[in-house]
Amino acid sequence: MDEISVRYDNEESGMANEYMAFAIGSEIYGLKIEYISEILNMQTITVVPEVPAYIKGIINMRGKILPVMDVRLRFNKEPMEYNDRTCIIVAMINNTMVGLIVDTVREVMEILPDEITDTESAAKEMHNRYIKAVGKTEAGVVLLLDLDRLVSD
Amino acid sequence: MNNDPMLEMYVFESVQMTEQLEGILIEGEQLGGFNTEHINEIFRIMHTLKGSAAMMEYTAISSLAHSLEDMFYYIRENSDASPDWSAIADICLDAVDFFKAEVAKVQNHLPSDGDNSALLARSKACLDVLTGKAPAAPPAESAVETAAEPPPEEEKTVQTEESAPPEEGLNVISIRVFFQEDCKMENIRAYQIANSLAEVAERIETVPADFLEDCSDDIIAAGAQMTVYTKENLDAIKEIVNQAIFVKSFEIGMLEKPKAEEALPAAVEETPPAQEPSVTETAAPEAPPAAEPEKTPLSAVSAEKPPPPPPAPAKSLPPMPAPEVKASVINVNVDKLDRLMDLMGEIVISVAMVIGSPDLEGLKLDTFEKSASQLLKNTNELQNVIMSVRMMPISSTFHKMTRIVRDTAKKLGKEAELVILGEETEVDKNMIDSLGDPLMHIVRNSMDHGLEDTRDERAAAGKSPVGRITLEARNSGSDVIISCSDDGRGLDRDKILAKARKNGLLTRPDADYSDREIYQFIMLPGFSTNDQVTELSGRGVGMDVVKKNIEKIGGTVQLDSEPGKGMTVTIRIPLTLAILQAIEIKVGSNFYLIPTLNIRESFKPAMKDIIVDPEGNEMILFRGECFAINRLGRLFGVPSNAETFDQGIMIMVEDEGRMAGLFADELVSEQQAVVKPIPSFITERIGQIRGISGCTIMGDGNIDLIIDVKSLTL
Repeated sequence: MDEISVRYDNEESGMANEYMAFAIGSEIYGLKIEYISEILNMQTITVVPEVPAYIKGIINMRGKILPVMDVRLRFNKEPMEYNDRTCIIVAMINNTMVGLIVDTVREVMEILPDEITDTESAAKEMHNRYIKAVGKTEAGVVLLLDLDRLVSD
Repeated sequence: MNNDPMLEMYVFESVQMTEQLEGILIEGEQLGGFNTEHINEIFRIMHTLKGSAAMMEYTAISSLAHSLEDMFYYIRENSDASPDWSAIADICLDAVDFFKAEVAKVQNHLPSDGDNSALLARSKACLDVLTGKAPAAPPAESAVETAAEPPPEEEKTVQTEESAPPEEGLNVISIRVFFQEDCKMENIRAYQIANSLAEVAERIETVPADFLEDCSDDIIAAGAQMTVYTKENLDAIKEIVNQAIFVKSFEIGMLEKPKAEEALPAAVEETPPAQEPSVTETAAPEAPPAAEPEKTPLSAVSAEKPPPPPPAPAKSLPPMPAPEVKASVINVNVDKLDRLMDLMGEIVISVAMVIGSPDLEGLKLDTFEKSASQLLKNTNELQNVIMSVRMMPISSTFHKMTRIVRDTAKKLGKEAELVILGEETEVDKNMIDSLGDPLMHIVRNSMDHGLEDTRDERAAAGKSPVGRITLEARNSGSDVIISCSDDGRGLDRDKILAKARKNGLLTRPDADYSDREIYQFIMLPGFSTNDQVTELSGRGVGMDVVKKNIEKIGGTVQLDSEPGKGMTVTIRIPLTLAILQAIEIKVGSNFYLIPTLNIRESFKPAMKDIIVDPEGNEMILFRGECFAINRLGRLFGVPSNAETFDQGIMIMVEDEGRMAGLFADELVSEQQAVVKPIPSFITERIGQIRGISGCTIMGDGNIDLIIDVKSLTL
């Protein structure tokens, strides 16, 4: 299992502005790196009955049972067959650990606060209440994820 | 001085002692008075509580314990007094609560800052009444011998050497104290004894000179040597040492005042001085008389003290010489047990991985097979041992309810008795911890709302005037069933139904709901049919919390009631959250586990045994009876390869006498599964999943879901 390791050292002051960029379809999303504990390749998912479609089931992460959520389905997008680029971002928030299935993981990028625009007001038009802000980078616009809402709603 | 192990030990001791104290108090109250044994025991506990709290400088605890100790001292010394037992029990129980609260604070590293003045005042008032406004009981320093204690027999031998110049009119008493093995911090405990001796002594010399230095090893090896110059007599000093905790044995003797120089040669030889024990025999408190060792002159006899919280009647002591009581019970940190359990789980998985390794497929490996089955056998046994280590009888949890019943009964002015059945049933330690609160709530609920308000009301219903609450525990397969029933009014089915209708909870016509389903409504959050919410409980306010807490440990709650006859709350919890023997089955590409204990039979069903009712419900004729069929594929929403019944396999499962057929594609193998809960991320969203009780990681690293037979046989 080759995993992309993520640095934990909080001492680096720059980390607060670092985001993991991942893609769903043609859009690029960003998730604050402090929430991410690791990134896994796709693996066998055990289907759990009765759950909403976007919860794909549970996986075995080195002896830990981890629920996985398909972010694509969570955003009400068309389902897509998983392939070898599909990744599971293991994120932790409020003591809940959850795996987020995304089309592919891009890179870690730094987005400074003054490059970020709040979208609270525009959220309704964007049809996506799980985006809390938009960051501008050289590579284009990155939609910044509201993980709390994504996980706890 | 590192405070943490000390604190831990203090908390441990105090918790045990307060619980013990509570038990004695309640027992005494039920008997309508305390006998000598009770009084002695309470006195001893109060004394130890006082001592250890004082050592830790928790004055609120120590002063209160001291005041109660005085009271029991008086009672003990004046057996003809007729105290108001009920008032005393009230004070003491409130004190127990106070101790518990303070110890809890201490445990959480908070200052012990409770206000004990009210309790102190009550205790003092009570003592004043006892003594008839006479001056308070004499301090405990006078030689005290309890009725339970055999009279002291001592012989004082003349000691020919002296350690220090004697002082006029003072007795010189030499004491050497040995502590129980593994009691830890011997130096601190010695210091504590020296401290209490200092209260009555003019001067104390000790070897090692300063107990507060790190000298525990010396004390373990040679004992703590103290020479006390005091006006008190030998008995008084002995009593003080006797009261100390964790003392295994001690030697005590009076040193004679030196007669000029004649003692000198002996003194020169003896280093350190006064180390030679003088010969004295002290009575062994609480030891049965039969075990009282015959006195033999000229040999040192040690006084044995049972460990501070005697778990059972004191063991009889082996005869001399200086018997050593080896502890056959040790205290282990629960974290270590948890770790052990986790490791065991990992080993079970690893073993399955090795034995089921795909690399071995198709190979003929005779010796490997043999070794593998040996390994399986051993891991099985190891597992059983580890499980048994974690198992504890549920009795302590049950007996705590005695207190709840007592308190609630007093508060509500009702009369009730608690009947306890099956208290020896063993449950995993973690489960026991999580059961206390829910049980307490259920019992309170029954007291408050279940039982009728007055004797007359009960008499009119043809019941005994005293209400009865029954707590019962028993094993059922891999589960433990705990039930709490009262013989009160029972649940009001119509009222609950009406309330459910009002709250929009009914999705089917009223007549479709079984009684059981209706009763389950009161476990929904905020569902209370009680018009006025009382201080103790508003039925329904707390039942959802009970349900939630029980579900957290993998259990279920069920309510049954018969109007006018009472209600029963049945809690069902797995024996342990640990390892399960199960059969792996396959449905389409999905694997599930069925606990072996629940399986009665599996077979290819004959089409003639399948019955379909007009609504399309499928049933199977099994041994002359009809049972519902659950097609697992349909139930769990996964595709199945067996469309017709002759393509798959029928597994008859049973739970508590109820059966059902489960239809799967095929049986795979028998497996050991380490039960893990479904992540709360999922269960918080959709609640308990019908038909699934948990999951497990298999040898190949995949996750199997464990089928919950109970919910499928209802």
